[in-house]
Amino acid sequence: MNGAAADYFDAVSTGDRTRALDLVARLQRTGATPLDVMTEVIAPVQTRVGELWACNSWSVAQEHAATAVSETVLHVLGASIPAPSDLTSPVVVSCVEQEWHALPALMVAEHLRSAQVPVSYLGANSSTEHLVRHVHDVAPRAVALSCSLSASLPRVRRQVEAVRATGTPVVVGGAAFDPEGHRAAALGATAFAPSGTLLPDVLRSLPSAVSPATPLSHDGAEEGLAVHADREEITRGLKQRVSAHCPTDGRRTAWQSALLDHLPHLVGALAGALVAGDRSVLHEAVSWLDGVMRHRDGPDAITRKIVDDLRTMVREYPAATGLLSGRLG
Amino acid sequence: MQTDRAVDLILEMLVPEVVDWAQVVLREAGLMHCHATLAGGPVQHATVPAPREGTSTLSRVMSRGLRELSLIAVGPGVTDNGALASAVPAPELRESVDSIRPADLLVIPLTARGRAFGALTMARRGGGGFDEDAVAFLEELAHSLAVTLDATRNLADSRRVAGVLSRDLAPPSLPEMPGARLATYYRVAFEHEALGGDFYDVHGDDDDWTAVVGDVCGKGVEAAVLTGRVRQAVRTAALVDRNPAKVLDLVNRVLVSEGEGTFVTALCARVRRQGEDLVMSVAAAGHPPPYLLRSSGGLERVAAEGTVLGLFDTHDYTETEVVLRPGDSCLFFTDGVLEAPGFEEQFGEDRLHGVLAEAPRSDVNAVVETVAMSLAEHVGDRAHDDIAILGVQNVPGAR
Repeated sequence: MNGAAADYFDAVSTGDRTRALDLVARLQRTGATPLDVMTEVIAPVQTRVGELWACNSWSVAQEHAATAVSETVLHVLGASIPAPSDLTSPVVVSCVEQEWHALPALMVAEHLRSAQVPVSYLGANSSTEHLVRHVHDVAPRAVALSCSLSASLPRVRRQVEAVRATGTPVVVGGAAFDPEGHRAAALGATAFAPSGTLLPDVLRSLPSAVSPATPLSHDGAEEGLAVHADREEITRGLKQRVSAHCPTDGRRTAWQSALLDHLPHLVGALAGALVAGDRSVLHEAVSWLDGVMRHRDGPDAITRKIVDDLRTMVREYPAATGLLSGRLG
Repeated sequence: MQTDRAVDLILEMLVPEVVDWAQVVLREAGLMHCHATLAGGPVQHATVPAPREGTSTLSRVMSRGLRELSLIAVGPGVTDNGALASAVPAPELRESVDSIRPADLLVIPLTARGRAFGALTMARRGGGGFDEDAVAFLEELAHSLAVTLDATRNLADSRRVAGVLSRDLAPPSLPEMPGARLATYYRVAFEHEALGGDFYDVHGDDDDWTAVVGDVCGKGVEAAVLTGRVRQAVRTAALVDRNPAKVLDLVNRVLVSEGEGTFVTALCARVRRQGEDLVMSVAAAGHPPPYLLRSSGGLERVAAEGTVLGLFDTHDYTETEVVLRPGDSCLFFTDGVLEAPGFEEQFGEDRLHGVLAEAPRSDVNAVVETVAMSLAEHVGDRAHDDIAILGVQNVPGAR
């Protein structure tokens, strides 16, 4: 990390909003553009924040506090970007429903504003109803949908369907997608943006109107939607099984509580892999869980055990069982 | 579907399967919005002033409500465009149809609710022609398209009217209060109506202001209309006397005198700065009492209770004083939080207490977000009641 990023990291790690804002204001006075601050300072620090949680150095509360500071800073930075002179219809930037990682979407919004593209920013956790109503209200030229968690991929599909039904093109992007855009295409998105920087180019290539999404037809897609719909029941069963072979004496260890917190994501990633027709969605979720377990001194092969438990839970779904039987992680 | 996009998709269906070139013109407020496409090309758009009544093929077709069929006989490159210009008013769109001359041109009015609001113009290369059957078929098609497009346009108009009316009923964006940080979360039960019966509001002077959170009985747009009246009553009452017991007393009298039998629960707080501290007087009317989050990590429940508003002619509202030291936060919420349905049980007091105990203390935005995330995860896709959360943090010197 460069010096400014290191200072910024100190500020967010203590949740010190005033210090973070002062630092950014100083950088801007010495000539840094909002885009510089985002890419050189905020983005690397936020990546670091995520890593610190993953390796058990930080609590969830610390991570939230740091991220809340960065969100404020981004809003303030955004206000310093001159409004686009272009008065054409805006691009709606939104996080998929139940996604609380607003920062990537916020950065995308500021990127677009810097590129003089009018933006209507909806923020974290936009419900499908809210998104579609907004599309009707502002008649955007496109919707840019951000998705960071693979467990949210089934919700991406639902929102792609809803947006396309209005005739509006929908671009997807974020950490939940593969760099080649296979998942985005499988979900029926009009286009895929591999990064926020490339989004302005992607927007230029979009058609003015799109037809409604065709139904998902690949193997396992329907199972994926069923697993997504039943995710709470599957997760509860999985929790019971998991508790059976990691007994606690009243207090949970770090790896045990991280594991229990993680089970809904694992079930969601299974649904995501099926709906997006890409087994690597599940592989990624499993290796992430494996990393989280190792950093918290979880027992050997615990991840493998969990995957076996999940396979038992979904045994009536052939495609899901097939995915979980392959080599994972 | 938005009208413009619906038109583009219609054109893509017609060309090249049915005709070689097609144009949809929609008349609106003295303008003609034109969309046209030639086989193999994109849909092009142009807007031109509407011609005077009866001076062109288009206006004639629209005013009479009758189709017209003509032959644009002259070959490409010929500059006499009178007949063509009369049916294709935008010069940039005329070029595309010019390239397929000689061509047969069919102009059909788009009519709904007894009024032509536009026209569908189609061209076939010379020899392709439109026989009687083709004309009858295309007229029927144009009629169906007109009804659909009219519904879309009508919906857009209604949305605009509803949008203007509802802007006043949705929760306001909060003012910046010096030395205080405010955070909110708002979710309605009837998402399609976008309005609900929960509300919050903050108003007053820099060092002496009012914060209110409340819940009117009912959901959706009817409830929202009442929240608008209650918010206004609170604002008016606070101008007379900012003490929250007095505010609730006045609002109660207003609601009781209206005698509609609807009731409202609310928390009302007067917030004043005293040096480094924010001093809050809190009064409650049948509403869940707020939580106090100490920057040291402590979590307290404010003792505040009183009768719901709007049902009884009482004057018994009382005030509880709470001191927010620097970094402390106070969290107001509606019962939609506690009653949020889950897989097995409601969100409930215990879960809320647990989430707040673990929440970061440095920033009330992070506190509200933490609660919102747990709620969303708990509720999943289940139907829920309206939910409102308002957090106030004492941050001396904050901008």
